[in-house]
Amino acid sequence: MRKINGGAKARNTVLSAGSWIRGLCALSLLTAVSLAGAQTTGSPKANTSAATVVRIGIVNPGSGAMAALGKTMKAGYDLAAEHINKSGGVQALGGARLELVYGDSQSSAAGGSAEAERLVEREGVVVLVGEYASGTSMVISDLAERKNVPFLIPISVADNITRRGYKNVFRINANASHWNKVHVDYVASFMAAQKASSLAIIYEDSEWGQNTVAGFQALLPKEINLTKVSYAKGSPDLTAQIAKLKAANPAVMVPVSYIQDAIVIADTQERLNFHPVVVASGGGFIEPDYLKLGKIVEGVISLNHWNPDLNTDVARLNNEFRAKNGFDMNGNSALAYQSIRLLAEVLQREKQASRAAIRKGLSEIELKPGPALIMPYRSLKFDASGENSGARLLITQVQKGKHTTVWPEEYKKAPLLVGK
Amino acid sequence: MLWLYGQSVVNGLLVGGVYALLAVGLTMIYGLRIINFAYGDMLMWALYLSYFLAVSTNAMPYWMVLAATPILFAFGYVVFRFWIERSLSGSASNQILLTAGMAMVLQNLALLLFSSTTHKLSLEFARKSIELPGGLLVDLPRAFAFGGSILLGLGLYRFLFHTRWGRWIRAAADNRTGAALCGVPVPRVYAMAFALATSTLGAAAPLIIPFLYVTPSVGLSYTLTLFVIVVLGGIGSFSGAIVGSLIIGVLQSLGAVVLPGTLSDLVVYLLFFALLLVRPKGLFPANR
Repeated sequence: MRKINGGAKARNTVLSAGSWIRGLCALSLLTAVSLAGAQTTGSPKANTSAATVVRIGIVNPGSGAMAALGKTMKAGYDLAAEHINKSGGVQALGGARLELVYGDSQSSAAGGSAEAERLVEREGVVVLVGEYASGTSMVISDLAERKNVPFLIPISVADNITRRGYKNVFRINANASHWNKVHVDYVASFMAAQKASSLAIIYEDSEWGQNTVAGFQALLPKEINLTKVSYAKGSPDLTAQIAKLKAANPAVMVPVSYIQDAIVIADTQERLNFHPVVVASGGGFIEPDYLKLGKIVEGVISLNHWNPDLNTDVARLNNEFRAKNGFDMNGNSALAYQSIRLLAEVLQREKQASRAAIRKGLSEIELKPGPALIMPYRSLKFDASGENSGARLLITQVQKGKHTTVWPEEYKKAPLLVGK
Repeated sequence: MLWLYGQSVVNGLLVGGVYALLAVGLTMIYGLRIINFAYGDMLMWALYLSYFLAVSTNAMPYWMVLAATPILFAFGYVVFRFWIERSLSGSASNQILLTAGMAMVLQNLALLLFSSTTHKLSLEFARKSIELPGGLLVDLPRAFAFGGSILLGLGLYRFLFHTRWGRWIRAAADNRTGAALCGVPVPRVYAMAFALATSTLGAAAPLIIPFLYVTPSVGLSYTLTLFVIVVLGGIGSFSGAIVGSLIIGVLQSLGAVVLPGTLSDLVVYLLFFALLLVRPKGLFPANR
């Protein structure tokens, strides 16, 4: 490196630093552009004759705190579009291709709303799909209803998203109450079978965490003794919280966390030698990164919405997905995949790619178990509020480094293993 | 219940040790009236560096101190010469804007290069604990980090009080103009101090990486706490930074046990607030 101190070279310094600053500006601009670019495929308004291309707007967390989740979902959306386009597009529309137009919510509700508006107004998409966080999907649903654009939600679970009488909102996933009920019922029956009476919950201090705890408090049998500990999301250290749980000596622990906190919890349990049966509530516990912890997460049970061991079709789908992306499909990528497959079915049925036709199609369609339905549902059919009435959940356990379905009976691949 | 309180004090001290490891560098540059809001994100880069070095060499992460410290030193020097130095003559808000902007650039570059995936070393020894009488568990890698922070603090202390450069740094911190009039090469001293403070992150990161994960946003969780510690201990004071770290660590840990929910952070900030009213210069105002 050039030595740049001393008065004689002062001008030189200024010049070179000036170019450095320009370099930095260019670099940060480049970063911003490529971050946005990573989420946008195709150029806006590029010869979109409606007969050949159907533009689907997807609001996805491409950067920010939820970016890891956004990545798993984008992989699911992309694979579904690729499958449909490779097999000749939508037949009823003369082989129309699906084009996914992404908007990066930057993991915030404001960002999600702005991107949804851009997709609707400037990109002219015929349907909106997304986001992940309930708060963001809620804001987008207001916009979709105002603009009269159908909005298909693969994942966000908050009950009230579908409880405002909106005509344009459709949700595939089971809602939060359903998740809560399955979770509490499973934990209660498990504890009854084990004759255990002490339960601990460790939860992030978000709406999701608080709702889950409220659900447990309302639905749990009275004889079960409940210890609750909350923590600030993204804490680098949870030793004090886990020590508090350990002192209560519960038989079962329910963690409500995203992936980073899930990793910290597993590590801390190991260090404090605290090994209750863990029955997690989805979230970070079904992310690909969680399994990388190896031995220490063996035996962890979690609510789940999908698993590659359901049947041979989804197993094949997962193999293809893994070959492409380097990680397994999970419930979130499966729901993303499902949402695009569902839209293709709707377009096939309506033979028209307008917003009105898609809204009508979504409210009338019923997918039965088969190649177009990869979720373990009885059916995929929306009721008057836009809620999927056939949604169902799974319980999986980490066995030999893989999520293995242990509930319900008809999908069970292995018996539940308890006691290390 | 007694076990729980004992254990949380032990945990708090260990967590405080980690804070101390990071706070000594920050207090040093803060003492020169440089406000670096990108400090946590520089730590994040140091963590990525030690992570990838440890993974690629497959050696004990502690060895990476030898590589990461000089790299961070050079990084700190370049950052100071090309950016920070230019903001020093203006108002303090210039520095805040500059370093907050740098924090964003560092985070987004990391997101671009390493994605948002959580990187974590999986080491057998990192989950080992030593059992003290009464069943108290002392976490081995954190105990090492604690030891490292004491060594680092002593080393910096020796450097500042027993070398010519150290004397210059203290002189420049005390009275910039006066020092310059006495022949201290102030611009070079500032660059040296900033680079040295940044290099402490290179020494700290390999000690932390065995028990911490890395994501582009991990620095954020430290920046605010570290500033509180540095102000609490007295700006520019090493012993203050170390004592402040231990106090905050124990308070957070005990608070999480005694109080419901996430109120423990409230305890930390309330105490901080009260202390600023009583002792605005912190617990150990640096006397040079």
